[in-house]
Amino acid sequence: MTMTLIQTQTLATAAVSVDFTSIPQDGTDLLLLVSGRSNEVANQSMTLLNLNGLGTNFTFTRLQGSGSAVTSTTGTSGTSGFLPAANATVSTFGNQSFYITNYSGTADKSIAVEAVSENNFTEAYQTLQASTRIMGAITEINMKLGAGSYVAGTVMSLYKITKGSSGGVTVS
Amino acid sequence: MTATYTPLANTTLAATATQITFGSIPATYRDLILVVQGSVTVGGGSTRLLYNNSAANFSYVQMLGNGSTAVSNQATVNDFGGLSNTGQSSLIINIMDYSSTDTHKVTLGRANGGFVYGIVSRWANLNAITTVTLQQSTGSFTIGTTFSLYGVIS
Repeated sequence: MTMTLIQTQTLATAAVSVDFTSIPQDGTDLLLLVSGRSNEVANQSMTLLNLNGLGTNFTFTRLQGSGSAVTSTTGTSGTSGFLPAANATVSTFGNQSFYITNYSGTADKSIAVEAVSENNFTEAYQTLQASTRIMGAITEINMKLGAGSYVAGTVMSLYKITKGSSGGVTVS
Repeated sequence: MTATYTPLANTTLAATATQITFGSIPATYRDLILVVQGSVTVGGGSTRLLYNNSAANFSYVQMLGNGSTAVSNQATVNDFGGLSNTGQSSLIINIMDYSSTDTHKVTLGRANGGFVYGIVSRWANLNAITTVTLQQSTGSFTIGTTFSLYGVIS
């Protein structure tokens, strides 16, 4: 079996960031799942992915829908879609998924990001994003917000997925 | 902690290749997850999936962003965007209910390269999938590109 939970963090109080450190290097890919909300005084909060403590050396292409428009943009930061904030429908959390391939290798990292901010009004966002980070092995993941803090009840779970062989499947 | 992905096969290219085939896939699992990470020698192409060596009876809808424009289209093929020719990129493909013998097969895919894609396709075929082939339409998969196949238990 190869999808193994590394750590789950459930916030008991608000926090500016959530950090996963000393990530074991014996897996192939990483999957980070987030259920979160921000206390920023806004409808939505932008989220920031930092790797090994840094939010630089990223490039991304984003596809995003707001409920009234769809856009595609590029950038060079770790911004990774929106979560609902203080002015969004109460008790409503958004979700994010970050799939990082070959995280323990020396090649640059390709990251598949999906994010949805829930809101019972006209403004809510769904984001698909392809990110690339110039770096070696990932030993730390730091999730932050553009403004405000993650509220209590935010949950983040980090899994490692390990490749292998079984069942007689052939490759040619 | 209970895990749900069973590794079935993987390969890392020691030479460029235009095609990779996973064969003899057992009907033991509910879904398949295929993860590709690497690049291609020529940009602008796409990665096509064949099931049981067939490229027939597919239909797909895709949405993509190129950094300035959002596009959606459809066709009667099983293409899943493309890897980048200028840096590391990835494909993550979920083949749902692959071993069933009484349903068409739905596949969800994400391509993460210079463009970002979300794709859904349907194979109008009731046979269980025992072979998955990835074909690069333009150029080749580069040396070092990795392909990993997982089974998801129900």
